[in-house]
Amino acid sequence: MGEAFAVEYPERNTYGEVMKGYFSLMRGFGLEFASRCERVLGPSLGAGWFDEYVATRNQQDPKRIQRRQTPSDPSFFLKELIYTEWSPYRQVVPDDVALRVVSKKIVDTRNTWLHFSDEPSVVQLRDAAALIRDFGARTSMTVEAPAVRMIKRIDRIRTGQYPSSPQDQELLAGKSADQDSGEPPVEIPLDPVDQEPRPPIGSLWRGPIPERRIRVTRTRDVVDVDTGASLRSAVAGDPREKVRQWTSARPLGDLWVDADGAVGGFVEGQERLLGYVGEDPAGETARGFLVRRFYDVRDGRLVDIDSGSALVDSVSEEGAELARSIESAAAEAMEPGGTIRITNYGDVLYIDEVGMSRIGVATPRSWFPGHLA
Amino acid sequence: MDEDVEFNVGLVAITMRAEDVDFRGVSVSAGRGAAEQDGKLREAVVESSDGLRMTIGCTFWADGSADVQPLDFLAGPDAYRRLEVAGRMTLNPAEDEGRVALLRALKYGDRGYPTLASVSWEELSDFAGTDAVELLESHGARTGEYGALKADATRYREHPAFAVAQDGLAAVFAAFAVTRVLPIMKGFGRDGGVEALY
Repeated sequence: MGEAFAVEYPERNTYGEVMKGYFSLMRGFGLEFASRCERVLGPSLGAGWFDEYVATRNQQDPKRIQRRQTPSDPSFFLKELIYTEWSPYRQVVPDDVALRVVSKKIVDTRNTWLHFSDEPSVVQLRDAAALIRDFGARTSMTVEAPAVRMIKRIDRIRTGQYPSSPQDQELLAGKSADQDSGEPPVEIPLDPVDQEPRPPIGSLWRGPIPERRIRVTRTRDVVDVDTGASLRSAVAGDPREKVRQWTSARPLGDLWVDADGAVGGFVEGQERLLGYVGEDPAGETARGFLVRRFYDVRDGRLVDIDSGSALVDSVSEEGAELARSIESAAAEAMEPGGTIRITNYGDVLYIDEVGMSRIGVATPRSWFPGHLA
Repeated sequence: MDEDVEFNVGLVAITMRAEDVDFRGVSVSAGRGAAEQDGKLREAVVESSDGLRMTIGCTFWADGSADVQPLDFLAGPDAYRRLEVAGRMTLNPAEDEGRVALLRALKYGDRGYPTLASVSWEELSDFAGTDAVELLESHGARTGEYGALKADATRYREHPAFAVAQDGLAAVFAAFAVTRVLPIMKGFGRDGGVEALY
């Protein structure tokens, strides 16, 4: 094609900059992939191969495959690469399971973070860029280089090394330009909220850290550090499961507990809301942290995509009934391009372009062994 | 007298004393249980956002060897207590009077506690939250493969390493934070793991 596409990198950790970086990288990725497809498939399949392919797919699956598709849209070609066995895309890049797993993770990551965080940050962009880099490395695509650069830029933003000079920072903040320009203000004022509600479980802790410290003991009891008194009787539900939920993100050091029963601790050096001594607030659909595992539905079976093993074959008799009901919920919800994830609280999530929903709540015994450790 | 030198590496803060003190102890290269000897020690206080506070010392010993060792564990989560017994760092002599050290990192293994293991530059950058090469070079170190920095090295020739002049102690303490403290903070090598949603 001979033209070049310049990927744009975020200037700072704001919503707009993160989105700019993400869409720009994905567009660069899509354009390069489409150009390679033209080069590889054009000579053998003819110039109109893409339109013919879309038409055939639309006939096969009119509900999901619209007639209007763009060759450079990753959400189209990645899904075709993953799910359509006879797809010519499998001649363009290595036809192997590992690459399809990376492709699935790119789709999953996009589904996950675009729907989730009310404030997608450079951290999520970094995850997405790492997967694009991986895809690029496996297919010798040049998008690997901008993906690596994206990661470096993000690391510099996170550590305050970028932007570097005060003049740059002022320029970016728009201070110098907007003084007397007559432009309308760029910020939307938001009214302060008196008693800010707690954010979802797993969020960064809001407000000061309370004094009261609690510790998980070797017997998996949880005691007040000052008095030695156990909190077991105050805990709502199964204390062992509560303790597992609070600690599976592996907070270091003692936890703290606030007057309302909110429990917090340090995860990778950051203060986080880990849960509640009492009942969890109603209405939270994705409590806690995402487990670093990826799943799929194959032939109606819920499988772990890295090991390939099916959920119902992996659980003991005790967990089988719940596992089967989660599997059928997943099979019912799943569409090509959809994503199944689980949080350390056991919230099983179905995520796609339309939105995110909780399709079940698993326990450690009704899920893949070790995934909810 | 000069002021302490303070700097951050990721979520770890390091306060390096301005001057050396006389110290008597056992050098790492002499082996545990070896005789004590005199040395010149530079002390640093290492603190993490999740509560670690400990002192470590970089010592140049009378027999010519040099190393970084823990001194006092003052406070912090139990996970960091591993630093009292593991993760000492030997600084090997280089041709140009300077010192060279391997960048191996504390990694959790099957036994449930971390031991030093070989890592890539990318993993080191992950711990540091920034480009590890740039970080170490900003503190005056040279970086590269161990074999390139220490021509007579026989093992680990292709592994990440750094070199400093005799007064390049800030880089030594930064390397200690990256390879010893931050991997424990992040649970490097532990199975599973989670990612923040919010």
